[in-house]
Amino acid sequence: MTMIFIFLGLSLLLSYVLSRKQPTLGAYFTIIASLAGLISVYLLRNSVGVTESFYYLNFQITTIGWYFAMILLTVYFTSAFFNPFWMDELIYPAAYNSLYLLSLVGTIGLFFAQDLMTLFICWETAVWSSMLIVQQGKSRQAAWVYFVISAIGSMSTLFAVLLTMYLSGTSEITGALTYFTTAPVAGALVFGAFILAGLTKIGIFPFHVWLPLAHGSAPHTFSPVLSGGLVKMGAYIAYLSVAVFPAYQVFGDSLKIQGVPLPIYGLMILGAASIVYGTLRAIQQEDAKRLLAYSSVANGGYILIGILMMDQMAFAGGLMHLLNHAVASAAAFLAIAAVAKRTGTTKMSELGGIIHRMPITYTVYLIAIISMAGIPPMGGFVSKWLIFQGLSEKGLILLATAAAFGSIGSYMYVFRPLSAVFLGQLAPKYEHIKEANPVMVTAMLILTAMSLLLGVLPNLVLKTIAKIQIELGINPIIVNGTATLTENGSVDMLQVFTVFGFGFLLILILFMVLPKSRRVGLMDTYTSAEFIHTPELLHYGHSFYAPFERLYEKWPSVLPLYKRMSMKLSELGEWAESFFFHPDPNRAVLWIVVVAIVVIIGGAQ
Amino acid sequence: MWSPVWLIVLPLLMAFISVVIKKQQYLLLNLSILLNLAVLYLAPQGMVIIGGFRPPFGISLNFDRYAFISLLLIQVLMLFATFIAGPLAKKYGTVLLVLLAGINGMLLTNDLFNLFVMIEVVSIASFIISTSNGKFTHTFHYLILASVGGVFFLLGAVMVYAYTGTLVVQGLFATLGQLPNAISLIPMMLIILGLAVELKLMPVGSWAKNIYGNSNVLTGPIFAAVLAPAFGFVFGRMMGEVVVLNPITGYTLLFMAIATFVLGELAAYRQKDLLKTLAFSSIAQSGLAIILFTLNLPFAAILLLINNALAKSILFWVATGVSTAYETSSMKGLRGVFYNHRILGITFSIASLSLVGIPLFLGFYAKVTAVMAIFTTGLIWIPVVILATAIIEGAYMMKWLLQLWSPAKEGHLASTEEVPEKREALNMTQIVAVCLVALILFVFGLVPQRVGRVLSVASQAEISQVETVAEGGGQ
Repeated sequence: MTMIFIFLGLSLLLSYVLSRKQPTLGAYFTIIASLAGLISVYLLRNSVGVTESFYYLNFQITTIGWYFAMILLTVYFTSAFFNPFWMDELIYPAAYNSLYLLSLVGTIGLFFAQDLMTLFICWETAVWSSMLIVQQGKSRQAAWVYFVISAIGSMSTLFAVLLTMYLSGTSEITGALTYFTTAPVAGALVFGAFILAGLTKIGIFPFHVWLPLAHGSAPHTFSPVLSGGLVKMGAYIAYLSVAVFPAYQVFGDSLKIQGVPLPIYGLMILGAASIVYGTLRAIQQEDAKRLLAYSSVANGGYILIGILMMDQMAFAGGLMHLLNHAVASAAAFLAIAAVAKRTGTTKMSELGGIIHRMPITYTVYLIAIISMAGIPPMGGFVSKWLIFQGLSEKGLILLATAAAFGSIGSYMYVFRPLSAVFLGQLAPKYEHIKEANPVMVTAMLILTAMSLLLGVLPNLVLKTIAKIQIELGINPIIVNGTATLTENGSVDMLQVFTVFGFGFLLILILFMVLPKSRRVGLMDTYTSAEFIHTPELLHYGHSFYAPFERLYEKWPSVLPLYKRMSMKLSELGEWAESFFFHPDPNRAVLWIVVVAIVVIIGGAQ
Repeated sequence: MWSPVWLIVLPLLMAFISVVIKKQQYLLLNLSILLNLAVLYLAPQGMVIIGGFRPPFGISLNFDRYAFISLLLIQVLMLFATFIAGPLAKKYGTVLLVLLAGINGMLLTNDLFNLFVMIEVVSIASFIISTSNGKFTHTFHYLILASVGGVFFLLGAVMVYAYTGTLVVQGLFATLGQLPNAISLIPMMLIILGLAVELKLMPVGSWAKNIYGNSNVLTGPIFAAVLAPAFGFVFGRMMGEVVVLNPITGYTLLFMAIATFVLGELAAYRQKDLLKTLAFSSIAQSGLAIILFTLNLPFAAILLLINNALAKSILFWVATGVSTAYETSSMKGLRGVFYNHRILGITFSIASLSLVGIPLFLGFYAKVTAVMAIFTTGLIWIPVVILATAIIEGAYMMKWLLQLWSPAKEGHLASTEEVPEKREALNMTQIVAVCLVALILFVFGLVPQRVGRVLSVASQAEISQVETVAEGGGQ
């Protein structure tokens, strides 16, 4: 395992050197390096329990760490296929390539960390290296917000880590965190500080503000990694906070709602708020990348709720949703990136009819959003279904309602780019664009195949999840052949797929047999020779859901709150500066005397 | 033959010679720093009694591990600072020699009155150096405050002598501790206030804003990386050997230090000028070092001082270099300059990441050590304050990094056309020197435990007192 880190460390240096000579070469090298990482981590699947030390960093292979690492590596590997084609858009391509691999090292290290210090070091490495990548996109502000929100999480983690190390006298994660079974008060504090990091990184309401900014303006090749990959670091922290940290014992005496301790239930409510808020905001977006970013907020809510449940079904669903969302979201972002490469925009009202020129990209996007919305027979359906099962079994109606709302709402927001970007009329300026090049298509098809496979044979993954559940001492999810069994019933996705497959075939035959539709050009309008000054307003992708959006367009947004907080801090700084750092030396002399008098009077008593 | 006395005498002697042979003052300066480094290594550690008079009648120098570490840091940074400042350092060669003698004296002396004299020597030298940017009102501001501070310090020393009949620094707290609380309180407060001016402690450190904020390639590093740690180390010595705190003085000092730290960072957060940002950041970091010394956690404080000195020297070299070259230090004017100066940009990034305390850098080790050490005092709220403030510090340093690296307008991809026209910020030899310091910082970050082992010996030398404010105050 140490060898993997050394290899990746060396390859990041090598990719820097190569990129200095020829950026594209360095970018191709990131594909090779991440593939090598993927394969070598895959080969570790049977080495659970092995510990290794590298200098003062200690690592241990665990099933859950392996699972997370595989997800991240898949996303990094497939996104790397896009890197070579974006080198000319970046001002520091060599830095991009090496930071790409550095952030990979950081995340993989996080999942395999054996002690708290290693965990934190890897966490921070991933954060700052990815921030420096985001800044190469369209917005410095976005990179900055990403860093600041992450820093809130980082510093609270650092506090938790150090307090835990101080109190428990050990830094080994399991040993240190289980110490709090006997110290519930300190435990509650540490839990709060720890989970805060998870919330900021997953992008749970109200810490979600960085996602639309960072995902929306990062280089197109890095958005899939942010959404599909780095967000999952937060999920890992959430996992550590409830599964390794004895959260249910620490809060054992607190008020319980349907058997869930109040603080944990409160966090689930935040997860539910993210689902609802992310969904509603995603519906409003004009930019495809920002839309997908908000959908990540909503999906983060599902993942958080699932993990916090710590039961047989929802927990399995949460962990599986991690993978499903990573794969689907990476595919969707990559599809949008491919479109942006050809058209130069991600604004939906400037696009349309791309299906006629990029049919494969369209298919990739379609399958990705089917999975995201949780429609069978894709992977997303299975994980959302498991989460529903878990929630309804425990009678957590409020959360189940939010989850259902999010599922239905996701139909609306995923359909918007599908319709506005891919369907409809093709603008004349895009008449001559071509399908994404074979390298990009390969990456997208890998992810699409995975989405489909996860939908048809979810048990491939559920077996690993069952192993994790057994390690944690909770009832494992039961799989039987192709069927997944729960207490409320079972589902056999292969059967579902067969049914859907037949339906699809039937429609395909009808489509082939029936007469073809006639294409109408975009300029073939019905304005009766009147000149159109603002054609973009007539684009059907513009204000797509206007009547629905009007219901909540006046709702307050969270970002202004942060802006005001930042302004208040600046004002406080300004006050301190004008009050204590006045250019007049008399004032400072006065202060010396005042302090002396205060102390002398105070001390004499 | 090899005695630490040379550390003071040599620069002073050279200073006198340099008045006579003006042309060679730069050479004499570098020569004396190099000789000082040799003396540092060859001189045996221990107490040196000058002239054969035993204290309290004679003067003694305390050349222990603590003094050694601080002197080594100062000589090395002084060497780099004078080398990189080049022509400016040549002009101020004599003054810099006096400054060096003063600082070395300050760090070595074992006598409270001598310490006052040395502080005055250092102050006068730094007044003169601070005029090199031509902003005399700011120097005047500094002069007034430092003089008042000096008087307070002297008064404190006189009172200590009146009450105890001795001025020997080592172990003075034991004698002072026997005095009634109300009597020891006043001299202690006077001494602390006297030092507080130089330590830039709020509300008496207002001079620092403009002296640091208008610095050039000589004054910035000298103030931030040589004077700041030097006074930090002196304060540490005072806290370890002299100052007796009771709850009133202890908490006042702690409160002032925390206010300096938090408000200093907030003031830095709002700055749109690179040098002013660094100025307030220095003020704030000084506050943090004082928090640690006040809580009697010298190891963490020393680590912090060293990290700060190394990081700030790099930041000031690069910042003053580019702001002189591009004739602006505003955020807008400097946008994307690192595209032209990659190497300086990388050193600046390393220094700022270390300053903020990001893992893999020395600053992280310093931060962790500080927080862990404060936990042992039982004051859990202080780490909360420190870490919350670290978010603000990280926020403004990152904002600068992002702006300095990226020439793009907000909302657009960067293109090379927007990069400001390239001008020479520092020449090749200067860049190599900055890189060397950055390399030292980087390597320290890679082997933090080794650095820690060396420093822990130094911090044990400093600890004569073990009580802290938290554990009940008065002795």
